[in-house]
Amino acid sequence: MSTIHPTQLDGNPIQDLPLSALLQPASDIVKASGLESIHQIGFYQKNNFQFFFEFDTGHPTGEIRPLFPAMDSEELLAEGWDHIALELHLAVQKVTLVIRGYYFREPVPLDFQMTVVQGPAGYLKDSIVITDRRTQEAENTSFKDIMEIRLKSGDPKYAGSNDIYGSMTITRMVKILNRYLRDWTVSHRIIERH
Amino acid sequence: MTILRSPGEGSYTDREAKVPLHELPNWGNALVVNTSRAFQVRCSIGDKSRTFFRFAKIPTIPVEFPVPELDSERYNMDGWDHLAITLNMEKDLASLDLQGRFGRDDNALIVHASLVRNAVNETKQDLLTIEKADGEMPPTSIFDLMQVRSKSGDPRYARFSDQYPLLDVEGVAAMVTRYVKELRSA
Repeated sequence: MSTIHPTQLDGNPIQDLPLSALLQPASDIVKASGLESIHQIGFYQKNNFQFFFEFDTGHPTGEIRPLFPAMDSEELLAEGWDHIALELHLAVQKVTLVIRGYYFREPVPLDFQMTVVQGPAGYLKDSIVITDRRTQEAENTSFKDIMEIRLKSGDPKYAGSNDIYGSMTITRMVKILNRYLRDWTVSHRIIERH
Repeated sequence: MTILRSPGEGSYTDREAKVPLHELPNWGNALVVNTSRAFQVRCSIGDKSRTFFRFAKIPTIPVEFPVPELDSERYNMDGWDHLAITLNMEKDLASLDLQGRFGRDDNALIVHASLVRNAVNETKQDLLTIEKADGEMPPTSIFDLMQVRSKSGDPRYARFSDQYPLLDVEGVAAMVTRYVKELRSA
C-alpha cells in the first residue's frame, strides 16, 4: 500500500494514493483547520483550471493544507470530458470522492456523477449515475459493478488484472471510468423507443 | 507521519481583532506568489450559505488566511435576500466587493460596494451604488457613509470604533447593512 510522504502533507499535491491512505491525513487536516469538514474541488475545462476549498459553516481558525491528486488536465479532457470536477471531501475518519462532469462522444451527451465514501473499514457508499442528456434517462450503477464486468475470456473488461476494489488510486479509478464511458456512449448511440 | 497542529490543542490564539483590509495582503501574498495568480475568497449568504477559496492552481503551501467572520443568520434576519462578499487578493492589493439584494419583495435594493486598498493603505477605490425599483441612486462611498451623523453627533452607520483607514471586511458589511436597512424603512 502507498504511504503518505511527509512532503505530501506539507502541501504538495498527492499522486497515486488510494482513498484509504487519505483517511488519517484528512483527519489531521480537518482538525488543524478548526472546521468540521473541508471540500476540495478541482474543476477542469479546456484552458480553464480552478481549484476550490469550500466549507458550509464557520470559518477556519487554523491552516488548511491541500491534499489533492495532481491530474494531467490535457490527458483528462482528451478522453471526451467537456468539463469534469473532482471533489475530495475531507472529514474526520471519512473521505468522500465525487467525480462529476459532462462527457460527450458523438452523438451521446451525458452527465456523470460518482460518489465513493471511504470509511475506516472500507467504502461506505459507491454509486454512479449516468444521465443521457437526449432522453434525460438516468442509469444507476457502481464502481464495483463496473470492475466486475468481464470479457468472455473471464478477464475484467475495464479494470486491470492487478486492480483491487477498495485499494485503487484516484487516477486509476478515473482511467477505468474513462474506458467504461467510451463503451457506454457506443452502446447508447441509438435511442431506444419505448 | 506529520501531525498537524490543531486550534483545539492550544497552538493557536483566537483572532481577537478583525484584520484591516490593507493588512490582508500580508496573509495573501505568499499564496499569490505560490500560485502565480490572484486568488479569491467568497462568503455567500442566502438560501445556502457557504465560503470558498478559489485558486488558479493547487497551492503547494498551507493556506492561512483570515476568512471574514460573518454571521449568515444575522444578515439573513437583517433583510438580505442574498449577499456575496468577495475578496480578490493580488500581490500587495486587496479588493473587497460586496454585492447583494436587500429585501425580498418588488422593492428590494440591489447593492454593490467596492473598496480597494493596497498594502501601504492607499485607497484605490471606494464606491457604493444602490439600485431601487425606480432607478439607480447617485453613487456614494463608504467614506461618505462614515461621515453621516445622528442629531446626537454619534456616527449613524459606523461603529464608534470604526476608523476609515482601519476598516475591515466585517465592519464594511455591517455599515452597508445599517445604511440599506434605513433606506428600506424610509
